[in-house]
Amino acid sequence: MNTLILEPTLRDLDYSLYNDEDRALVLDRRRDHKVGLMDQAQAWQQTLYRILHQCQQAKGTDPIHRIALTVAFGADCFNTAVAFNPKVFQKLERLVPQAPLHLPGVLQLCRCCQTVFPDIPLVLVFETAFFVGMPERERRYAIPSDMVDTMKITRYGYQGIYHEAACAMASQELRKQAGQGRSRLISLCLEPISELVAVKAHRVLMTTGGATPLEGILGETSCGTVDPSIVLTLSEKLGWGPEKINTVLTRESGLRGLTGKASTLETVLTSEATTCQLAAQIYQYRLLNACGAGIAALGGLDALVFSGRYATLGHRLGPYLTEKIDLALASQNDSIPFYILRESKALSIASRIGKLGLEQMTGAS
Amino acid sequence: MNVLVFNCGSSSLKYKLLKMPEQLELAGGEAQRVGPVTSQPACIIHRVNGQSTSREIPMPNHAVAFKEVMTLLRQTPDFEPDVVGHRMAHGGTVWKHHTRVNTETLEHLQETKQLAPLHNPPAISLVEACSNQYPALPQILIFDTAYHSSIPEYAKTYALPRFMREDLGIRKYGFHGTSHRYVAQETARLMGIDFKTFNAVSCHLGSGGASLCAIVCGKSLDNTMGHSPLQGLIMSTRSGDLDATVVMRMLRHQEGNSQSVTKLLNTQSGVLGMSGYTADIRDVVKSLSQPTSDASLSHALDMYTWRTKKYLGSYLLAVAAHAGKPADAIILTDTIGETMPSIRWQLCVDIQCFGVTVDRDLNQTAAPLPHMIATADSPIKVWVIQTNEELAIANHAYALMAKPSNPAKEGAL
Repeated sequence: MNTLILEPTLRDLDYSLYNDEDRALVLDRRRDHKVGLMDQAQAWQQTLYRILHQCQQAKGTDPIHRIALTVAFGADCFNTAVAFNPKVFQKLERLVPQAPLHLPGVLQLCRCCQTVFPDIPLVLVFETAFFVGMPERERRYAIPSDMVDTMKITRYGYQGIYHEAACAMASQELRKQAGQGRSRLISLCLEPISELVAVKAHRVLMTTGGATPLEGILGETSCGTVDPSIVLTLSEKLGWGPEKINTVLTRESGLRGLTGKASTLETVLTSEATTCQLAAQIYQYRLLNACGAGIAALGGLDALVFSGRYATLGHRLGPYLTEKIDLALASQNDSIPFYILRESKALSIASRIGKLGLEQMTGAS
Repeated sequence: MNVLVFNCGSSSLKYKLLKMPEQLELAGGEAQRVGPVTSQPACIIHRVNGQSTSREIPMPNHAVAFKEVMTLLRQTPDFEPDVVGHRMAHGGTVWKHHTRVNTETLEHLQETKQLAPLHNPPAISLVEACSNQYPALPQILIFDTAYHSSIPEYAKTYALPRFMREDLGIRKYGFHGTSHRYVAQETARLMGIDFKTFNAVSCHLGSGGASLCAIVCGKSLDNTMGHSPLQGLIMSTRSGDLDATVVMRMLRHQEGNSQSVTKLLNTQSGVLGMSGYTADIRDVVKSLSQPTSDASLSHALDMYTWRTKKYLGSYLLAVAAHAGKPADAIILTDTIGETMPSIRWQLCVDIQCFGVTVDRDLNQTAAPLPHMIATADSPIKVWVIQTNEELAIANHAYALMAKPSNPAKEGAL
């Protein structure tokens, strides 16, 4: 039984093939860049045919039994992965105004999956599902209530798949090593846009994510949290409109803005170059601040856990953060442990969706 | 020497006439609830010789408040000031130190108006009014941003392209510095700790603005306010932190009119925006004790304390990381910090992990100020300290005037 895992971004489509029996990826994560150069439906279809061809080469005929598609935004409508059907499609359509850049492409991709793979069940896995149930005090912004309601401005988190897998792993480790029943965790997802969440008893209490992934910790090209007045200053002093400001804050800021060139998180944190040093200090200080906020939200801390494509940077950041945290939590006897989730997002997805979609297929047949 | 101090807050105008260096108050008071309408009427509480009188006077803006305060002060002929000290929220990139007012200063001040749209414009109008009415009277500007000049590069730099940081001067400045330094010095003195080795988190929770300051070795390490006083905590009418994308959406919604978004985020958000009827968190707490209170009020209070608590945790960790040991104290000050035990409790409860335990009874009474409200075995002490920005301003103004050299040179233009 093989699951094709699709992870769409605005321009690209990452894909991998997972085998249930081997519990391993048959086809490692690959990226198709052709999306966006032509009519989107046509582009998605061509991409899916290319993927099918590659899967056939890797695994022989009939290689795909199920498709799992990651969806970055599902608001509060989806608190778990779901099998795709017309009702789900309609729900997603209604959410388009809240994620106008992302969801139209996802809907298009769903249609294309049905065209190219008409008999293969499709499962949608939402990054925001892990955050459903986050307390109201964390979700809301202090702006006029009517504006919150009409513009649907709410805080979410955007790396739920990684966080959920990382917290499950850390809880298991804590139980194994210390027999600890409760877990107050800070999960740091180290991706091009990093995100930190505080989780208590499987419930997210605090996140650095905002109404969009722009808020929070600075990313490789995104500014993270800034004074809201800065947007207005740019509008007044430079005469820039919202689109131009958005482009600069999301694509030309963050580590790129600080170092003056395209820089990965890994490069910045491991480089000796002076241009990277300030950027690294700022990134680490923001992480430290977010950890402190998370500890206050949790009322304590049992472990840190790192995940994401740069999860191994946890070997560098873990000792840095836990040393400082140990100083602040002086009454705690033991040093705070940290764990690193090494599995990819595709593996996290595949190992978590169980028989979803497949059962439906069996039932239908 | 008589120093007349004006402390122009976003919703108040505090004033004091002090005889220096004796620090003797000749007169003083506060114009309260200046600006947006709240459930209580605007009034001026005026003190002379320890006797207070309260007058309800409509004060839709600070210019009216200034006029009314001057009318009250003029009723006592002996109260002639030798110098006026003004609290100025934002010194921009121009001033790192306090300075004396002259023609050049007044020109540069105009440039700082948009950096602190709630504070600098009314304060500048006071300076201009004083200059017109009393041209021979020296005036000193005391900047809130001056104390935060010690914030390190990595804490004050936004992750923005270089030209924004260098050409547009976009960086964190930090505010309420005069108050943070004053209460921190007072707390260090009360605890018998040399200020140069004192580590704390100072919580200036005013009825209008609010900020936290991380203090390491007596110096400001960080402040929750940023490039302007809009960033950080939820305040009476200010939103505090907000996803930049939301501001862009608002700009789109207002057809690119940045002035109306500035107004919305500075004067219609915060507690007022959430509660829908009052900008004062004290009104919210009071209303919640009524059986028919609205759920939006409960949310407003919950969000106000939650945001502040998260920053408190953030700074307790930052202070420990930089000092190499936990903070000596948490300091709670200004109107809300000094008078609202329920809010103090909400902030400090459930953070024993940091070494903070507040005594419920001590917190409830907390009088007279200063008052320590932590339990005896709490490693981090919690102090409720009455801020006295006016005294701090008078001290700075007196020190500048008392120097033999031209005081104007003290300001780095």
